[in-house]
Amino acid sequence: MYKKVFLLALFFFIGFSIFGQTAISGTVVDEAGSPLLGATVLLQNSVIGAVTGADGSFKISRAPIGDHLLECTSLGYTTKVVPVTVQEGNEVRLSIRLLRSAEELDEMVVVGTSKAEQLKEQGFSVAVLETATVKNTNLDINQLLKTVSGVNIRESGGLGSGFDLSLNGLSGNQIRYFIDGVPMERFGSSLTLNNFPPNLVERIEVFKGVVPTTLGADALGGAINITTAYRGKSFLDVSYAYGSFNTHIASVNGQYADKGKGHFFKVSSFYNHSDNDYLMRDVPVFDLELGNNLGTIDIDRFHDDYSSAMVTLEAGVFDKKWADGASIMLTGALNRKNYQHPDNNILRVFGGFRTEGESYLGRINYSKTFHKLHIKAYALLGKVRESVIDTSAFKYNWAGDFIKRDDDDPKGELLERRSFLKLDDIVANSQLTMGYRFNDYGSLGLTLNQNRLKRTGDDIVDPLNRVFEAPNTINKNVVGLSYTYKNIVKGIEITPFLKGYRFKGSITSEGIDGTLTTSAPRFEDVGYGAAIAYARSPKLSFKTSYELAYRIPEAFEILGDGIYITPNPGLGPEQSDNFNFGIRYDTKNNNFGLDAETNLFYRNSKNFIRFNPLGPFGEFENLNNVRSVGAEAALLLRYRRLLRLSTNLTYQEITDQTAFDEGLPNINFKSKVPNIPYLFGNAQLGIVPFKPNEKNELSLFWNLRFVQEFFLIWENLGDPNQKNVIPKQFIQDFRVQYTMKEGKYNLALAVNNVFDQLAFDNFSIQRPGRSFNIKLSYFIH
Amino acid sequence: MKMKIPFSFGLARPLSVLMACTLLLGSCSNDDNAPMNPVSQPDPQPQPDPDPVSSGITFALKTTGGDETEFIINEPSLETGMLSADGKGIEQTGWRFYYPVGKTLFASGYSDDNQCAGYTADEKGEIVKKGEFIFENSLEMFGADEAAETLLAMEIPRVGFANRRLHFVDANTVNVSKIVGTRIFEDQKDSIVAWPTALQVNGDKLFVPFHKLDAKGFFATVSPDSAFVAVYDYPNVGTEPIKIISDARTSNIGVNGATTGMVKTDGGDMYSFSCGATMAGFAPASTKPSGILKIKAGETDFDTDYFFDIEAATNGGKLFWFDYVGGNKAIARILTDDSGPAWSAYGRDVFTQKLVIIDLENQTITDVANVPLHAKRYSSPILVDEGKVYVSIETATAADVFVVDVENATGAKGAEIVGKTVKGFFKL
Repeated sequence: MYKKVFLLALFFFIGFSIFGQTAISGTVVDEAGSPLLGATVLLQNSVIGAVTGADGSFKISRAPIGDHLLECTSLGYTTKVVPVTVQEGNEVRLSIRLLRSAEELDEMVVVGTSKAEQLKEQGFSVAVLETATVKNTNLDINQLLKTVSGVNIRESGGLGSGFDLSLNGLSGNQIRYFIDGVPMERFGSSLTLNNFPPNLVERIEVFKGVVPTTLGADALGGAINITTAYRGKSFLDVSYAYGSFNTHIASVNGQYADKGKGHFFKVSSFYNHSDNDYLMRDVPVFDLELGNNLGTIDIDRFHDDYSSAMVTLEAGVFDKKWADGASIMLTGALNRKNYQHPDNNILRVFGGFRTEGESYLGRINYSKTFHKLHIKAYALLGKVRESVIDTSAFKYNWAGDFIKRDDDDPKGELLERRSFLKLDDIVANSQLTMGYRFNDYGSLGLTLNQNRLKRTGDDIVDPLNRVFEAPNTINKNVVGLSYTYKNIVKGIEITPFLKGYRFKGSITSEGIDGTLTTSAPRFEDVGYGAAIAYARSPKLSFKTSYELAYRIPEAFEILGDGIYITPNPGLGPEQSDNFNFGIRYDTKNNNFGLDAETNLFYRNSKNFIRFNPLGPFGEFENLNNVRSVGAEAALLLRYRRLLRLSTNLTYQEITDQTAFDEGLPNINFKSKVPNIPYLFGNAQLGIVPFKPNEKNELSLFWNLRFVQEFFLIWENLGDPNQKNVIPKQFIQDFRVQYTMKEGKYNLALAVNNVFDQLAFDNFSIQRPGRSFNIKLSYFIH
Repeated sequence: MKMKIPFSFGLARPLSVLMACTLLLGSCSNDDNAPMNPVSQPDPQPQPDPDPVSSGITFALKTTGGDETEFIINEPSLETGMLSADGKGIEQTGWRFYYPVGKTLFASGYSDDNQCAGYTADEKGEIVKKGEFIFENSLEMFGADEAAETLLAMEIPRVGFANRRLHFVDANTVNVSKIVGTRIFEDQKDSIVAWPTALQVNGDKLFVPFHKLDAKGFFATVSPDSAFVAVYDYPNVGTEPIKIISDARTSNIGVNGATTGMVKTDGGDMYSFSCGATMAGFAPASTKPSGILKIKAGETDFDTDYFFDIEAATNGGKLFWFDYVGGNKAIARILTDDSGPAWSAYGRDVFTQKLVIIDLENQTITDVANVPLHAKRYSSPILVDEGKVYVSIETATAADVFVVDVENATGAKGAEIVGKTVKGFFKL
């Protein structure tokens, strides 16, 4: 430390000799806004810098004119790099907030901030999962996300199973997912959230209901952004985990960066496999010939294995005159998933049904700051194939017995006719984000996003399956414009924004007589919103945000299925008024830390898309209105580095606001929408019972997940004694982790669902019981 | 909130295909339609049918909103008050067909809800589930033997050439005793398959009227200007009909969504109805009039001397549904205006159906008085209770039970339906 200060002093001295200079000054604070003493602030690739005083302030008196990257470091905090533009006679003032780094934390931290976009200072309702401290544990991304208040994830099985994430009551395709700001729409099943081991992820940002314009997509209920970047550093992160159900999860994530030459090469990869052969209890066995019920048995799943793999290669340059960063990325990903049963029905048992996915993506990235203008752009082209393979002529039951069908029986396991359907998507997606900073107070952001999908379907087994036989295309454009006013002294930040959505499709459908008709649905909508943050004191802050958000219909909702689901070119977007209000109180001294936060949310959603049948046909229409009102509270208590307790609880009341159903009064008008968890929460306790020295550490974690029982069907309807329920979940996990050499070597053990509770996220669909897992990881940088 | 796909009549396979796609695309999960009853305990012991203690009437109520959940409810009277599922009834996990056989009510699921349960009244008169079985493709056509001990239920694959699998289900045990696969009729050269519209047992024969449809699954009626009936031996139903009879005086028998394309009278005569209208799903529409054909008791051919041209008759029009009510009379729905677009008779945009009593023997039609014009998409077989017939009548703004006095052809408004419709009334 003293050495560092001495060196800095020396650099300082040298710095005096440079011509054309202006001062950079500001403060460095921690997550809670408390000043940080002794943090170093250094212009990257130079010897010019300063050290903060007791009030967190610093001043670099003579910074050369031009664009710089300012690197701010402090022991125990993650280094932060901030672009600055120094102009003659114009003193630059900055407020830099540092996040606690891996070494300082016992457990993942949920903090209301995003390093990249400095969202902490903004009014968005955002939760950020810093994975630095948990990447070496045996948690997957879904498990991490479940610890965010307001988030609930319902899984239909083990590794690779279907899941439905809900965020403040909205779910499914109403939530959009991003990797490094790139929308993951139509990237295929190998690149969904649950495939990524946490080792590949630096940070997960969860935007609740109100989404900043930099994430260019039609997110009705919020967005989740995964960040993977480790800019400008060389590192290697290798991990391997093995667990129950023959589960293997491996990842290699490494980068070579040459700071001198300004180029880098990066590899990210994962491999996942699980047999998912967990015990199913009391499943009904039906005889194969006639379908009669023979009783129930307990049996291991036997056709549910899942494998996925991905490799991403990235090569590029950084800190060049013409670009702060520019790179080319290539991604290839594959997966194969066997299904034991459909995601919603255990009465039908599969022995052959499977899906396969392959995704190939190419992307170029560019970013550059020209004085006050910051530009970031990417362009992506992808080819995604998803196959649904229902070609087995065998018929299975839960006992594992099977028979072969008669030769003239065309039935598949799920479908009426055996089928091998390939859906080929070409995705083309690009985005340009520009930020212009007028002065210390105001900045303007503009995002232009274009997303095009071309889909073709081909069934190589069933010639009568005409799903997407004629190619269909859909074009989405999202334009976002935002202005940020920020007054550090007054603790106020206001970001009003506008979003424009444009949708254009070309839909070809085959009529009864085999004729092809093409229609070109199009619509335009304008959404808007604002996020306001007010820090009354470093300890107490308020946030509120609002957005009128849209979700543009999915391809299949507009296009239909080529036969029974008729196209509806007139289908409009779903829309929602999303409102958040949050209060946070954060205090700490040397020993104790307390961070309490509560948020209220309100979602008034209209024109939900629902299937409307007509005879054997039907179409998707805008039919339902739903309101979601709720509150979430989170409390974090910390004693030194020895003990950390974090809890959160979410209560939401989601009601049907559709007054009429096909002209008749909706009997469920204003009733609680069933089959959605309404009360759920988490508790995590982390303790460090053994710490032989500064570099080695043993940690113990206990985690509890609670989901209150909820009804499958409207609460007030039906005989209360005979109602179908999804029972209460009270699942506890236990983990032990030993870290050596400041995280270079890690050994982690986990027991999930310690008490082997029968758990259901969805009605009658069992989730795995108790499981064990061991993980080894190596990290060097 | 997640997207909901309510299963509705006729939408089995397509959604499965879509589901299969969405399964892996992960864009929409349909666990709302999780098709299983929590009570999955099998009952291997055949239970004797207890005599119903309750004199009430059981009905299948479809609610409004969301996914239109259905409930099996018992009420002592349907003549006044409100029929509601508020706090009562056995909830169903999705769209159901309801078909009574004696004292057993079968509720059969749809699409991936591939389960059929049997319900009856216990000693206390409460409705209880007495068994269940699963099937492959949806069971979409139903009938019963004359002794009311066996449910006949048929899987009807929608696309391509495949067996229509006829299930014989013991009404006491709710166990399938055998399955016979038959094509009924098919012509691979011209791509034609059969869509049955009734399973009518008469003595030692089973009569299966059918539509001829394009095998590609478009529901295109390729021979709309004739009536067709396949005749099988019963109970030893073969894989091929013993013969197929046709009649060019009217169109294909029956309509999609009704199980009563052909009915049997007390005397053993059989009558069938033909519609032929575009708005009832005929594509193309028939050039033949909507009418009623007859097969005399003991015979296996159409009675050439009998044809009741409903369109030419007083109070007539195109028949959309009928069912037998005793005394050689049928209760029926007639489209007072059949000019609507394809399948629109199944929707809730046009309310042009009237209720009539047809004297099958004397060939007269009498409008049922006091019943408004309405819409109807699906009906279970009707319940005739002491000369009264209960029907659910849905207009643009209301759904009510009407009690029809068959003899006088008058209707009286009964209980108000708190929901979309009552799909069937049963006495268990």
